[in-house]
Amino acid sequence: MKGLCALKLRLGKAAPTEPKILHDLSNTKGTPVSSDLKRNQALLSSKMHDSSDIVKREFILGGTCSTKCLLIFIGGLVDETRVDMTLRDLVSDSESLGAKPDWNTRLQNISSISVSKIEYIEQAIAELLSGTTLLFVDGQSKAFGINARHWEKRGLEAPSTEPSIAGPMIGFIEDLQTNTAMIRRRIKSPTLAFDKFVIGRLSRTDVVMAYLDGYADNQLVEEMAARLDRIAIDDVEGTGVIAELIQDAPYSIFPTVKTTERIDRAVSSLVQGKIVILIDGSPFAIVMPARFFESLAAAEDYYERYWFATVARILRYFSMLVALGLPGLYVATTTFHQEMLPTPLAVAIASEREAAPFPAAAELLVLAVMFEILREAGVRLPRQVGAAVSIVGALILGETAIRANLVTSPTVIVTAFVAISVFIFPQYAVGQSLTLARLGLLILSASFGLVGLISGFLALIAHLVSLRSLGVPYLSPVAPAVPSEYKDTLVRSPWWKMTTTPQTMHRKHPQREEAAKVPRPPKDLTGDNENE
Amino acid sequence: MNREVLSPYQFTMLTAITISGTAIINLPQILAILTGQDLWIPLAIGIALGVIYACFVSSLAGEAVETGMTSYLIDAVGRFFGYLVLLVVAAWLMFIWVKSFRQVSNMILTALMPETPDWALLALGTVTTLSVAWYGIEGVARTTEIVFPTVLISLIIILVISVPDLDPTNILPLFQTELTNIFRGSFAVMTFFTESLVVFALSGSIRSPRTIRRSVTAAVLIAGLIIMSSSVITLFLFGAEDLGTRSYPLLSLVRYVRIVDFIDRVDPLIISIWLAGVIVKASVLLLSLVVIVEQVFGIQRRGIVMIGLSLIQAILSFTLIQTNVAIDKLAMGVLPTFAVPVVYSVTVLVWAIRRLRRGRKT
Repeated sequence: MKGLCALKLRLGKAAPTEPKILHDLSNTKGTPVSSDLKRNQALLSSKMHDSSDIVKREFILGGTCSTKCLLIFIGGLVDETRVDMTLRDLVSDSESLGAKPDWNTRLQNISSISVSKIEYIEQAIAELLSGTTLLFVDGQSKAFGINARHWEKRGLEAPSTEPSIAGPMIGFIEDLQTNTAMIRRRIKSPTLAFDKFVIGRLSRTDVVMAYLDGYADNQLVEEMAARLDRIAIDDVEGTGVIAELIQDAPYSIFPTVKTTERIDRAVSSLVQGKIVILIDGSPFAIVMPARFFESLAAAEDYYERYWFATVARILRYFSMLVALGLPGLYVATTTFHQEMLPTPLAVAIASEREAAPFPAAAELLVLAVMFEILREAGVRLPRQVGAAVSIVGALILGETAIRANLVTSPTVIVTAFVAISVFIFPQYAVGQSLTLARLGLLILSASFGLVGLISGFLALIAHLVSLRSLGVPYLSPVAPAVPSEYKDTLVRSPWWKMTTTPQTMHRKHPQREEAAKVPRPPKDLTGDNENE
Repeated sequence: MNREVLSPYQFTMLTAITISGTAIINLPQILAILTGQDLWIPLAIGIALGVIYACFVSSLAGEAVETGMTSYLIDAVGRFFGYLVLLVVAAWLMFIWVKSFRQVSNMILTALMPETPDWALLALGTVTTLSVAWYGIEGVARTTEIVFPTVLISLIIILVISVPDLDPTNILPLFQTELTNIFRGSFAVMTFFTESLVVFALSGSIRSPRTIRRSVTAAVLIAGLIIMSSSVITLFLFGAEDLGTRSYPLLSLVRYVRIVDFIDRVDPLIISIWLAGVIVKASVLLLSLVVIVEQVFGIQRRGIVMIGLSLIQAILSFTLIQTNVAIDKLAMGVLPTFAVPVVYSVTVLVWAIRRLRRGRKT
């Protein structure tokens, strides 16, 4: 009677509408897993496309229970050997299962792989798509997720965009788990936290926010989490997408996030109280807050002797000024303020320019555009063809243009010097920003001479000081001035001088090293004792 | 509303660059004409009066931190007189802005780039000022942290290099000037120190009201030192008679010195760097005016107010450059002489009335 009522109730319900293929897996709680295996199969078929890479294996467990089971996984995303072993153990031991077996315990016992319970079909699909093997057992209103994820990945290699002579030759790769493991290997502290986010309605990309709990400012961590939560896009194509969606100044030409391929730089940032974002499928990590002057510090600075590192850093500052202002200065001095040039130089430039058909500013603009075209071509073309492009660019175009008096030699020298200066920056994105700013300064210099150049610089400074990265002033510690941080900004002080972490980061425990630990030889080895 | 706040260090530099930004351009010439070799006397008096004035202004600013300038003035002297004082302050700040641009434009047009159209130069100055002020007082203060030391270092280098050629006897004979000229000279110096009024207008941006007086006094003393050293050194170098004939004595000084042997002249670069100081000063004046307009009319759209005020300034500056000599003399010479005592008195009066009213209430 009771069964009949239940049947009536089931029949009396309105016919369920045909389930549609899931487009959004952000809500993983919807249809509960049924105890009927066939219904689960039907639900899975209706909610996801029956794709060729989905492997389904039905089998029956013998013994007293004689239960139908269904194993589903995606080919290429799991270690099939491990799944097979698990399955074999399960089947071979099925005689001892009993009438009402505890499947979860049973699976845990026969396998070293972690097993989780799944209650909803949507959750099951989300897990399946991220590489989990699903086991549906007839009569069980839960599915089991067997974590046997495994896919092809490249080995750890030296970072190609941030090479180092003395530092570690190891960079991030596209595999998220490997990347988090590499950070964990460097920071063996219980404070290291990896908070996981799933971003992308279609791509369901795993994104991890790494920080040192108790060191990073809580407000920064909360703000970053909120920004990651806000992202609502279909696909995370790479680091650039996330970086663009979480930065503070989306309209600025300057990047307020830093990307790094180096594990040591990411670790160093974490120790300073910063936040590192790792994205599955990308060999680059995002570091925030990112300040302008940090982009002029290379990983090499911390592996070389501090004297050399300081000189290298000063060279980078000089290169920054060259990359920004040299073309403007050249145009301003040769067009408006010739009196500034030493007489022999002014005469030499004037004689060169005598036959030039275009003004200096136009020459520089054309050469800058030509250089950018060559650079873009060099990046896109295969390595073998790239060399040919360099020859065409440097020899044929440059040499012939000078001989044909289309451009003058000083202009080519200025363009070449600027081009080399741009590549001295450890952060490629900053070099790109400076290239854009340089064009603006060049136009102002061509119109108003040095007055225009300085006005442009001033507007640029005003823009830079107004920027923030995760709330931290972009141009700090110079503006606002934080003198205690100059020791690792304008120069690279010795490690025993850098006893505190940057004040601007608001790290909870700013003390990095005990003060006054200047290395020196033991007293009994110095000449003092001998004299005594 | 997210309130922008300035540290005492930023506030000091901001005030110092506002006062000294244009004072060094032609103040030595004015003083040399009025007082000859005794120019240090009106300078000393002017700076002393400037320090006293700064005390009044900082006292008012300290009390107006929470309420803002407009509410404070209405509370202190009543609605009618409050708005009247605001009008005087706004007009004075606008006048200083126009005058500064006019002076600098004239200098660049006559000494550096004679072929450049004056309207183009004014447009560049106005747009640059707008782009600096656009980011608010915090942005201007941070820009000042980079610009002011640069301007100061370049000035110190120029002054130090000129030391071997200085002739201290140019200051002799002492005390030869009439008292009237000493007073007129002091007023000329005071013109620049009344610019510390921006402190009152920007009082809402101060992080620590307790440090206002210290910051403003330090700023006035730094500015005073800059003005005094540049005036006295140009006097020592050129002598009073020659100094009176030079429209831009500091420009002459920069042209005179040789930093390195292989570069003939560095004046375009140095003057352009100093121009950055003038732009920062103009940005501070613009933001002070914006604050006043916002508070009086209750306008929340800062961008529109900024553009509107910049347009007014550009039109006034352009008109002033185009006008004839008589109007120019009135605007640049006579008006400041009368306006300075008015601005000074109004500030002191407001301060005194506020004190008297508070005394009656208690």
